[in-house]
Amino acid sequence: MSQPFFKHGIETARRRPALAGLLYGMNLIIGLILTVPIYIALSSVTGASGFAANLTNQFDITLWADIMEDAAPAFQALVGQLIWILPVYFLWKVASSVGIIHTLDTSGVRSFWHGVGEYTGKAVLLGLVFLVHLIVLGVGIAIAVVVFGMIWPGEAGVFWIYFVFMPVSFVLGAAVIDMMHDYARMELVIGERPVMESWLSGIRWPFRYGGADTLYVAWFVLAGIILVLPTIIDLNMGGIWLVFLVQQIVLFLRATATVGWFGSEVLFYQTAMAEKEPVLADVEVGLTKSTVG
Amino acid sequence: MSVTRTVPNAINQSESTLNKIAVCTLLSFVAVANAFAQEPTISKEPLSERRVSYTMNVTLNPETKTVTGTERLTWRNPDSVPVGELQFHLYLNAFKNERSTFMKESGGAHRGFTAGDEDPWGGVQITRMQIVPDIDADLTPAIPSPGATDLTDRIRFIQPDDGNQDDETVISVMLPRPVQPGETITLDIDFESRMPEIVARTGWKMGESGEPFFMVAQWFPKIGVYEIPGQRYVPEDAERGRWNTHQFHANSEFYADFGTYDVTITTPESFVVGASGRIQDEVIEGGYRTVRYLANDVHDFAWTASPDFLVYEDTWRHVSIRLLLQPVHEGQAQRHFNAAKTALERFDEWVGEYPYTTLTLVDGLGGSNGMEYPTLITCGTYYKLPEWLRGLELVTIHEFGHQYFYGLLASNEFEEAWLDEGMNSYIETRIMDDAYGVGAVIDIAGLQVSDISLQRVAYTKSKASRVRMVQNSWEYPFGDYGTASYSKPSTVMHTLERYLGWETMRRFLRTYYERWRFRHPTTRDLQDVAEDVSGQDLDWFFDQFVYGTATVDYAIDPPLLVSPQSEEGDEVQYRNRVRIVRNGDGIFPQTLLVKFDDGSEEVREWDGEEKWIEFEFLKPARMSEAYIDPDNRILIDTNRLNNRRIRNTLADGSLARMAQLRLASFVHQLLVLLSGLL
Repeated sequence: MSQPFFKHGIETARRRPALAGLLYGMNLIIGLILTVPIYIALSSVTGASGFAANLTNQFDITLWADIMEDAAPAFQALVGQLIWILPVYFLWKVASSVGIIHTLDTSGVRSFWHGVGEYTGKAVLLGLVFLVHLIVLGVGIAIAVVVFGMIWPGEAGVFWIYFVFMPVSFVLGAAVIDMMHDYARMELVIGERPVMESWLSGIRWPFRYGGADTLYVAWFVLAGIILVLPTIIDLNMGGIWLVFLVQQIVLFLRATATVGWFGSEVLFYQTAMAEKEPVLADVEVGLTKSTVG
Repeated sequence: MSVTRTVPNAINQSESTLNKIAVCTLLSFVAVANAFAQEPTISKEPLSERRVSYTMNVTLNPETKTVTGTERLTWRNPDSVPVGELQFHLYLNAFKNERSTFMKESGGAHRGFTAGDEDPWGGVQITRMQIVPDIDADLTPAIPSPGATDLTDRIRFIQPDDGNQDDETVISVMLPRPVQPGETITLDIDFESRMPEIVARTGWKMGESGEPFFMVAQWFPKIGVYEIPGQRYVPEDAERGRWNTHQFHANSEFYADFGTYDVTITTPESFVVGASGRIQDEVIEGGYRTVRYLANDVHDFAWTASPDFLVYEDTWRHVSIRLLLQPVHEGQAQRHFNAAKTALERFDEWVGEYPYTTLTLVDGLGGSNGMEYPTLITCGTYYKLPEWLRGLELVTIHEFGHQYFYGLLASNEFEEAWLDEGMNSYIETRIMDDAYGVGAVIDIAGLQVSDISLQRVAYTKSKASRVRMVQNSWEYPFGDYGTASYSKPSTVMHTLERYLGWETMRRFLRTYYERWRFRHPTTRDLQDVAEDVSGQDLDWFFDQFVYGTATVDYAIDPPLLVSPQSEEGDEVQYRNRVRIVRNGDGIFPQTLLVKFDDGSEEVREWDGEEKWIEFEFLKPARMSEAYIDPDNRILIDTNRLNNRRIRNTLADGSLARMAQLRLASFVHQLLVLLSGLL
C-alpha cells in the first residue's frame, strides 16, 4: 500500500517550497547561462534585420539557415559550454540529492546544506558506480538491439526495435537504476552505511519491496506528465513572456514533484527500516508494519 | 477511395476496405479504360520517330538471379550517309566487378546503399549477335542481307568517357556492310543478365518473407543514340553524325532513342510482374507465369517481379495506375495513388498531356527506390511513415515527373543532367507546394517546411559558386552533382518563374513540351523556347546561372543613415540614405522598398550591375526600413537575411529573447531528464 507514502510526499512538497525553489532556481540559472550566447548572437544577427517579428510568428527554414550561418560561432559555443556544464551539473545533482534526503529525514530536523557538506563526496563515488550501471544498461540494450535485429530483420523490425524497444527499454532500465540509486543514497545518508554497502543494498530495493516500486511508478508518471507540459505549452501558446512564465510555473511544479518524490521515498525507506528495527520506527503518520509490504 | 486491390494468384486474403469497393470502382472506369484497352499510348499512330524496335523474350530464374533471353533489335540509320558501326550500352556490367567506372566513382555505394558480401556482382553477357536476313521488320526497308551474319566476334568494349579499360558498359560492333541511309538493320541478340544484389537502381534483394524481389533495369543490350548533323550539339554542316554513348556512371544512366518494346517475360507462377508499357496477355502454365508487355514511343524498358507484392489498381482519366506494394507498407496504397494523381493532374495542366495509358508504381526494396523508367517508377516509403512527413508523396511526384523530364523530353542525362533532374525538381517543388501548402514536406506542431525552401537551402548553403549546371555528370567533384542537378536548377528555375511571371513560365513549359516531346532537347533548345515565349533575350540569365557559376547576394549595407537636413517652416526634412552592396559575382535586377516613419513608402529599381549603389530620400520623415527583393522573387540570393534592414533604434530583440527563453526552458527540461540518469 503506497498511498500514505504518496500523500506524505505531496505534503512534503507543499511544506518545502524552498527546496523546490532551490532545485528550480539552479536549473533555471544553468538554462539562462547556457542560452545567453544564443541571445547575444541572435540579437546581433536578427535585431536590425527586420525579420525578427516575422520569425517569432512563423518558422522559415531559409531565414534560419542564414541565421545559423551568420551565428554559427554562438551555436558552437553552446556545444562547448556543455563540456563543462555537464560535470558541474552532475556534482550539483549528487549534492542536492543527498541534501534533500538529509533534510527530509523524518527522524529529526536536519539541514540541507549540512547533508550536502557531509555526504556529497561519498555520494559522488556512489553516483559513479551507478553510472557504470547506466553504461552496462546501454551496452545491454545495444546487444539486445543487435540480436533482435538478426531475429527480426526488415523495416517493421527496425521500427519496433529502434523506435519502440530501444527508447522504452532505456527509459525503463534507467528508471530502475534511478530507483536503486535513490535508495542507495538513503542507505548512505540516513543509514550511514559505506558506499559499497549502500550500493548493494540499493540495487536490492526494487526486488525486495513491491510498495517501493509502486510508489516510484506513481511519481514517475506524475513527474513525467509535468515535464512534458512545457513542450506542449511551447507548441500551442503564442507570445514570448507569457509562454515563458507559464512554462516556469510548470517547471517549478516539476521541482516540487522532485521534492515530494524524495519525501515519499525517504518515508518509505525509514518505515521499511523501522520494520526491520522497530526502535527506529517513525510514528509520525501512524504507519503499521504491513504498510511497506 | 477509388482503389482496387488484387491479390496475387487470386487468393482472396483480405477483407480490406479497398477490396470492398473494388467492384464499384472497376465498373466506373471500365468504360474509360476500354477505349485504350490494349494500347500503350493514347494514339494508334506513332508519337515518336521510332528509330528502334525491340522484341524480347526473356525468362527470370530466381535461383540463379539471372534473366536469359533473346532480343530482336531493329535500328534505322537516320543519317544521310552510311553507318558501318553500331554502339550499345551494356549497363548491367557496371555491377560486374569493382573495377568498373561506376564502382570506382561510387566507391561501391550509391545513396547510402551498398551491396551485401555474398557474391553481389552482376553483369550482362552477349552469347550471340547476328544480323537477321529477310526480316519482316516494323521499320522498313530492311537492310538487304545475303544471309545470317554472326557479329559476336566483332564485339569490342570501348570506353568513350574515361578510358577505363576495365569498364565494359559500352560496346562497339563493326558491321560487315554499312547500313545505308534510311535503311534498317535487324539483329538477333542472345544474352544472359545476371542481376546484382541491389546497390543502385537494379538487381535483387531478399524480402522480409525470404522471397526475392527483382528490379530488372539496365538489363539488356541497348543500342545507343546515333546523333545526326543538326541534332543536339552535332553541327548542322557536319559531314556525318556520331554515336553518343556513355559509360555507366555513378550519377547518370539514361540516354536512348525512342522506339517500341514488345517484351515477353516468364517467371515462376508465384511472382507478380510489373513492367513498362501495357500488359497484352498473361498465361499461367506448368508453374510459370508468362506476361507480354507492349510499350510504344519510349526509350527504355524495365520490369519488376516479386511474389510478395500486394497489387492495387486505380485509374486517372485515361491512365490505369497499378501499384505494387510491399506487404509491410499495407495501408499506404491511397497515399501512393493520391500522390500520383496529384502529379498527373498538375503535369497535365501545366506541361502537357500524359500520352501513355499506364503508370506502374513500384514499392521496391533497398536502393531500387526513387527511380524512373518509362511508365514505371519506383517510389519509396517507410513502415508507419507519419502523414506529416511527406517523403512518400515527394518521391512519387518526383519520379512521376521524370515521365516528362527524361521520358518524353529525353535529354542526355550524362551531358546535361539538370534538364531532367533539375527541371523535374523544379516542377516537383511546385506541385508539392501547390498541393500541400507551406508545410508540404514537413508539417508538425508549427514546424512547416515547404519543398522549394528545402531546395533553396540545399543550394544556397552548399558550395554553390563552384557548380555549373551544364557539365558532364561524371566530371563533377564529389558531392556537387546533387547541387548542380537538383537544388540549383530547381532554385534557378523558380527564380526565372518569378522573373517572367507564372503565366509566361507556364506557356514556356507547355511550348517546350509541345516542341520537344519524344525528342532530345538541349539546354540551348530550352533557352530558345524560353526566349521565344517571353520575347526576351535571356542570355544574361542563362550565362550566369545555368552555364556559369555566378552567385547572387545583394545586401543592405548597415546602418541606415538618417540625418535632419533642413527645416521648411515647422517641418523638418530628413536626409535618408541607404546603400545596397553586391557581394556576389552574379548580377540580378533589384527592387528596393523603403518605408518611413510616417507610413509612406518609396520603391526604386536598380539593374544591380554596380558593386554598390546609394539611394537618397529627402523626406519629412525618417526612414524606418529598407528591403531589397521584398517580394522574395530572387530565390538564388544566397543570403536573404541581409536583404532587409531596419533603423538601429528600432532594432527588435523579440526573436532573440523568445529563442533564449524557450531554449532556456528546454534546457531546464533536459536537465531534469538528465537528473534521472545521474
